[in-house]
This record gives sequence, structure tokens and C-alpha cells, in this order.
Amino acid sequence: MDLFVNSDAATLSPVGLFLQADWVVKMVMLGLLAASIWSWAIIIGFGSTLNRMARRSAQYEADFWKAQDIDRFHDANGRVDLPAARVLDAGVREWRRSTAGKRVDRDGIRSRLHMTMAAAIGAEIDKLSGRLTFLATIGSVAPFVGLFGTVWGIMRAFTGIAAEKSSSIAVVAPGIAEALFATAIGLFAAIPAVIAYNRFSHSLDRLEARLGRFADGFHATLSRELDAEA
Amino acid sequence: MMSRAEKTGLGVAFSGHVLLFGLLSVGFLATPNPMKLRNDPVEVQFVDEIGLKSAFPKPAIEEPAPSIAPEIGMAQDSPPPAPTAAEPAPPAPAPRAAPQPAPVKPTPQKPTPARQASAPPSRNPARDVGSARAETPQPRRGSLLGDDFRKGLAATARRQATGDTPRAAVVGPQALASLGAAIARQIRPCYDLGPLGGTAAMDIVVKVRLQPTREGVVTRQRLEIAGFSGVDGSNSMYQARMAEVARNAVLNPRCSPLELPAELYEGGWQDITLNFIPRQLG
Repeated sequence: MDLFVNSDAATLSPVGLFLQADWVVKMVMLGLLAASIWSWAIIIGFGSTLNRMARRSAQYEADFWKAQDIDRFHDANGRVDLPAARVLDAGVREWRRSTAGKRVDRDGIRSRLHMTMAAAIGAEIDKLSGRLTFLATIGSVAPFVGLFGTVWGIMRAFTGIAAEKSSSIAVVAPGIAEALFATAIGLFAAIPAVIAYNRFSHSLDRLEARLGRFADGFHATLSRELDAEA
Repeated sequence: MMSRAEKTGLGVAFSGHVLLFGLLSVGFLATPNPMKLRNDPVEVQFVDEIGLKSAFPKPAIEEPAPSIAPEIGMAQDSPPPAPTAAEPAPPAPAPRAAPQPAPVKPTPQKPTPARQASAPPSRNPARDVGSARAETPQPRRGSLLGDDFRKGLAATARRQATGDTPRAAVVGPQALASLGAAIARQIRPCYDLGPLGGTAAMDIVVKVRLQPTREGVVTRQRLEIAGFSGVDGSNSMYQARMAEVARNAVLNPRCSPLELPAELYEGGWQDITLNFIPRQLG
């Protein structure tokens, strides 16, 4: 019989609780801990990326609208690693390909420009939102995984009671504590993930809307260009 | 696959988690234990004391005081008027009706046959006491005041009662149980299981034999570990420590000397065996 009855703070520490736990609960705890680490990595990394991207995109668009010659601006800044730059690149490429031939179908060019830029926007948003699905998964699943660990641990604690033939709180308490610790870790992983998911999906929506406005403006410019050439 | 920002994020997140759990592990934010959650002390209980001897108080053996004055018979009602008397004669007063012979047949108005058994043959109850007492032994009704009571009180100076309170022949199991409860109440503050609380050691019942002095002092020589019960494979290693816990509880100067009723010393707590049952409150 273990002597963890008159438990002081040390035995109720995370490490102590983890070491006492059943292997199933241990696996649950380890998995949830890894999920928490990974979700915080995404939160930190993605958040900083998104912030930087929004700042640079605003700067890039401002520069674009100030530029006199779209071709020259594209040649100078078309390779920048920004969604707006890639949308611009897709539009300019399509424009050059469409206007290279002798016959110019204006309506066809307009619809193709619209399609290619919309596709570029979709590709950018897809690339960025790949990480967000992980946050959503953690936010919705981690509490259940933690709850599974808790239920398992409490079942084990009750088995312990039956084996000890004693229901004193000293026998039950460590098992219950270690079981509840699993739910605690699950919530610990899930709560930041849910908050970050909501915040980032909102940011992505704004980015998508902004890219759409940029593409529409660029499309309008090209469309005016087409009419002028006619 | 992972961008540079994500690698940084992973590093920061990992070190943050390690830091947080490390702090929690060394007791950061740990709640102190203000109530000192310990197991409750045990209750001492007698389980093998049964009433083999009578503890009933000795009956009083003092004889009742003898009669001095001549005894008189029981007070008797006068016989009712005969039911055969048809004439509307007014009921005569009792002294006049007494000499009238009553019929032998029982009168239906009297529902108590004990009275009637002695009533009809005694026509002169004041003189004929002996025959009535021979039939049914009655408590003596003689007066304690004799004819010469005016001579002084010296004759009545004899003790009316012995004055001894009837004492129990032995200290009975109920008295022993209350003794055990009293001892348990006094020892309980000193019974400290310490780290053994809640473990399988609590299954061990230690039997302790005490022979206190009349002042309630128990020394190490007057204490004897009489045996154990509830010892099995899982807690046999705690046996000696449980015995030590029980011994320390009794010998603790905070809880001694024992304050117990002095009249129960002999045959009672002069030599008493207690069972220390740790799980009594569990």
C-alpha cells in the first residue's frame, strides 16, 4: 500500500499526479499535453504570421495603388511572399496571356481574370486555414479526451475501493485527483484553442474580404484598360 | 512544412509548458493545507466484555422494624344490609348493624373476593386477629409507638437503616463500557496515527492491558500489549508501529493520569484491557 495518503502539496503536483496515474490516463495526459503545446505553437506562430502579413499587405496595396505602371510594379514586386502579391501575379499573368494573341475577346478576358484571381485568393486562404482546422479539432475534442481519462481514472479508483474494502477519503482521493487532472489538462488545451480559433477565423475572413476587394479593384483597372484599348 | 514563425511558436509553446508545469510541480500556487487534513483519532471500544457475573445491587437485608403496639386487623367495611329485608326499614348505622348475622351466601355487590374471604367470619374484628392472619399472611400493621412512648426517645434510638448504599457485587459490563468510553475520551487527543492513517495499518486492532494505580497513573511497567487482531499479509509490517502508537497514546503525559470514578477501581479499571480500533470512525 502506498503512503500517499496524508498528501502534501508535492504529491498533488502535476508530476506526482501523472506518475500515480494508470497508463491509459497517462497516455491521455501526454496526448493532451502534446496537443496543448502544438496548439500554442500554432497560436503563436500563426498569430505573428497573420499580423505581419496584414501589415505588409496593407503597405503593398498602398504601394500598388500609388504605382503608375502596373507592369513595372509587377516586375519589381511580383515575387514578394504575400497573398496580395500572388493575386496580383495571377491577374497580370492571365492578362498577358490573354492579350498576347491577335484577337481579343473582352468578355472572355474579364471572366478569366475574375476566375484566376478568385482562384488565387481561394488558394491563399486554404493555405492559411490549414492550421486553423487543427485548432478547431483540439478545441472540440480535447475536453472529451480529458473526460475519457477522468472516467477511466474514476473507474480505476472505484476498483481500488473494492479491492481495499475501504471507502475512506484517503483511499479514494488520490485516484479521483489524478482522474480529474486529465480533464483539467483537456480544458487547459481546449480553451485557448477555441479562443484562438474564433479569433483567427475572423482574421482570415477579413483577409479574404480584403484580398477580394484588392482583386476587384485590380480587375476594374484591367477592365478599364481593355475598354481603352478598344 | 513548418514555417519559421511556426517553429518559433513551437519553441515558445514548449518552453512555456515546461516552465508552467515545472512551477506547479515545485509547489507554485499550491494551496496550503490549513485544516491539517488528518484522519480522525480512534475510538476505544470493548468488544469481548460480557456479563458473566451479576452486577445487580445487593438486596437490602435489614429486617423491618418490629411492632411494639398490639397489632390490629385490617380495616373492614361493615356488612351491607341483607337483601332479604323487604320492609322499608331505614338503613341502620354501622355499629348497630354489626351484630346482625350475615347470611352465608356471598353478597353480589362486593366484587373483591379477597376481602370477603376474611370478612364474614370475623364478627369482632378487634379481638379476633389471629385467625385472620393465619389464613393470609399480611404485612404487619403494628404501630411503632408503644404504650410507653412517653417515657422518652431513648428506646427508639436504634438505627432505622444501615446507611450503606447497596453496592454492586462486581463491576458489570455496562460500567466497564462507560469506563472504556471515558478512557477513550481521555486518550483520544494523544492517539496520533501520523503517516499510518488511512493505510492498511488501520485494520490492526491492538489489545492493551492497563493496570493503573489508584491515582490513574499508568507507567510503562503497568502497560502491556496483550495482542493484536486484524493483522494480515498487507499490514503485518505495521504491527509494531501500531503497538507503539497505542502505547504512546496511553503514556503521553498530556493524557495522563486517567481521571476515572474511584468507586469503580477495584474490579473495574484496576486491571482493564482495551482494544484500540483505529477504523472505528472510518
